[in-house]
Formats: sequence, structure tokens, C-alpha cells
Amino acid sequence: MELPRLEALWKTHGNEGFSVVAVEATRDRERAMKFIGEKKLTYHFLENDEKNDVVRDTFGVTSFPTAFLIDREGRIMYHHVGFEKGDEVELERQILELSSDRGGRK
Amino acid sequence: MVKRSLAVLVLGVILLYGWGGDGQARADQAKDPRAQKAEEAYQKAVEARRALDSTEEKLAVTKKFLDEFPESEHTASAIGAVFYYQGTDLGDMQGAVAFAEAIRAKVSDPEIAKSVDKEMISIYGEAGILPKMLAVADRLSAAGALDFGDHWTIITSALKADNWDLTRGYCGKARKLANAEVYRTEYPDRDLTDEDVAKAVKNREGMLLVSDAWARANQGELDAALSDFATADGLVGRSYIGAPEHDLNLYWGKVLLMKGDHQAAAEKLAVEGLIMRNDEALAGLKKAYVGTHGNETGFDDYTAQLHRSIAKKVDDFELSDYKGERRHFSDLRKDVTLLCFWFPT
Repeated sequence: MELPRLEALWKTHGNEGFSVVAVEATRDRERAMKFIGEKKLTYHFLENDEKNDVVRDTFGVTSFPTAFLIDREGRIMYHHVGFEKGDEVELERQILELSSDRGGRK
Repeated sequence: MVKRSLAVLVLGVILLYGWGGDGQARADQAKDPRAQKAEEAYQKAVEARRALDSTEEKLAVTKKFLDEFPESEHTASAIGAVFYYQGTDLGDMQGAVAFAEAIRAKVSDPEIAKSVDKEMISIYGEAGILPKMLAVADRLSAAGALDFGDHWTIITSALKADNWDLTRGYCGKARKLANAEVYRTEYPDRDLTDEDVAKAVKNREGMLLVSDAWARANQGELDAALSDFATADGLVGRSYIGAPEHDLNLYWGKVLLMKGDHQAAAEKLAVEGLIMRNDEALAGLKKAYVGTHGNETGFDDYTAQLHRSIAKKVDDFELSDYKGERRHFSDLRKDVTLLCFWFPT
């Protein structure tokens, strides 16, 4: 999922209990901040640690972009790797499904 | 120590090797003026692409670079990018292949030709033009330049084309490269411990076993395939959500379905089908359900419950934002949260 395409999802669903957190893996701060500024991205951005490589050691992520969709209970309900046109349609479907799903049975 | 970072674009996924290093280092090497110019033009093209949003514009910028500098150390990656934009994203495979071939015809430097040929293997493979892919592979192989990654590209293309003999043939060839010595030679720049190498070699053995077993199953050897899957399960790595890599459980589940073992098939297909939303795995899960229950009634409730029960709980972590403030992920979460990992290309 390309980050600028997520901005639209975030703008649409941000008030409905949806948040986006993007972790930059390579600590390329200069380019990252330039990109975020140029594309006017407004969700949460974090930077990977030098000593504590959360991206690789905790999440084992080596392919980018990788996205996890997490429900209210903290469960990873959807895992997506890569970016292709139309991916955001499925992602939005999953977001809506999880938003309407209040934890228990539907 | 300066690690080199190398980003490879494959089918809309970027694989990143040895990050944490200085990606600009290569630009400092002494070069002849023509190569220097090509380097500058390439950096400009990459910079321009970054600022553009539309695929068509990104494609045009990349093609312009290749038209001006058809022969440089960036030819292969630029051709790969053209194929991704024009072929994968815009759906014009034929046009993308024709463009790549025209550029390849202009390359004469043997080292650059080699890197472009490697790219052509994956382009032909992705476009499903297997005879041309194999012709390039034979040429590289005769020069001793066909590495494990090239073999793997051929295997995945053969699998996609349901070509079982080709799959098994290249699994056999690639097995000779699944050892520590070859692995170290292929990544001379990486700072590898013996443990890293052993893990990588095991993973290579496992991925070949998975592909070979799936081809085997399609040739009718179901039991042998199941036994190979069980062996591969101990070899391949696992993703954070617990799925074995290289589609092991997808293939394993499909073979269990062929055997009529619906219960076991459903167990294998659950994560791929429900969390990774793999269409084949989801279809297999439904088939397994119908096999056990006789019809589709109750399938949606079954998957809703199964989905929640197999989903892994996310670990909390603490990182800094760009204001330098430490943030706990748990504080940023809402009812629904998208956590994504990226790097600026």
C-alpha cells in the first residue's frame, strides 16, 4: 500500500476510531521527512531505532510496504504485503468490516 | 561498518537488504565521464519519480532516462521499473517486454549485459514467455552466472504456468546452490554470522522442497508431497503472524484437500485465507468446510469465529516520532489501526 493512498483512507475514516501508524524502517530521516512533507501526510509517523530494530527483530519485516490491520482487541486481522492498484479497495473493505464488528459476534 | 543498502523492486514489493547503511556511497566511486552523467541522470529520474503520483508520468521519466542512457549500471533496475509501471500496473505486458528488448539490444558491456539478462529472466517469466526466459537462462548458465535468485525466479514462473517438469528440473539445479559456501559468495558485502548463513541455507532448502513437492503432487505423488511438506515445515522461516514462508501452508492445504482430509486442510489454509486474504486459500477453506458439513450453510459464521481465534495479538513497542518524542504504539491505537512499515525510495 503506497503511503499517499493511505492519506485518503485516513481522511475518510479518521473520525470513526481509525488510526494509521507508519514506521520508517531505514532511519533515512532526511528523505522520509521530505516525502511526508511533499505528500502532505498527516497520520502518525515513527522512526525505527538504531539499537532496537523493531521492524526486523520484532516484526520480521523485510519486504516493503507491509501492513497490518489491527482490531480493538489488538488482534492482527489482516496482513498485506506490496502495493498494487486496487489494494486500497480491499483494505477499505477490511477497515469497514472491523469497524462494524464490535468485538463479539456480528 | 558501512553496510550497503540495496533495494530490489519485485512485483510491487520492495525487498531491502542490509539496511542501516549509506545508500549514497556508490555514487562516490570514480567513474568515466559518461558513467558519471548516467549516474546523475538516474538520480534525477529517481528524484523526479518520487515527486510524481501518476504511473504514466513515472513511466515516462524512467523511459526517458533509458532512451538517453541505455547502457549504465542502472539499466537493469530501470528496465525493471518500466516493466512494473507499464506491464504490472498499467497492464501492457507486451509493450513493456518490447521496450525492454529494445534497450537490451543496445547493451554491449558484458557486466551490464549480465545484469540486464537477469532482469530479462524475471520480465519474461512474469509475462509468461517461458521459451525466451529459458533461452536467456541457458546463456547465463553457460557463463556460470545463474545464481540462486535467478533459479528461484524461473521456478516461480514455472509454477505459475503449471509447468511441473520445469519446476522440478530447476528445483534440482537450484539445490546445488543451497549451501553455505555459495550463499557467502553471493553476498560478499553482507556481514553474516554462521548462524545467519545456516538459517538462510535452511530456508533455501525449504523453499525448493515446497515447490518441488507441489509439482510432485500435481504429477500424482500425493503422499510423497505430504511428507516433503512436513520436512519443509522445519526448514522455512515464519512470518510475524505465524505463517510459514513460501506459501507452504497454501500448497500443503491444497494437497490435503486432494487427499480428502478436510479437517487438516482447513487448519493449514486458515491464516493464508483469512488473514492474508489469499483467494485460493479462502476457496480451499470453503471446499474443506463443505467437505465436512455437506453444504455452505454457516460458513460465514464459521470463518468469522475462526478468523478471530487464529489472529495473533500485536506486540507493543516504543519508537520516536519526528519531533523526537518517544511514543508507545498502544497509545496511538484506536478501534481499528493500520500499522505499516515503509522506507522512502
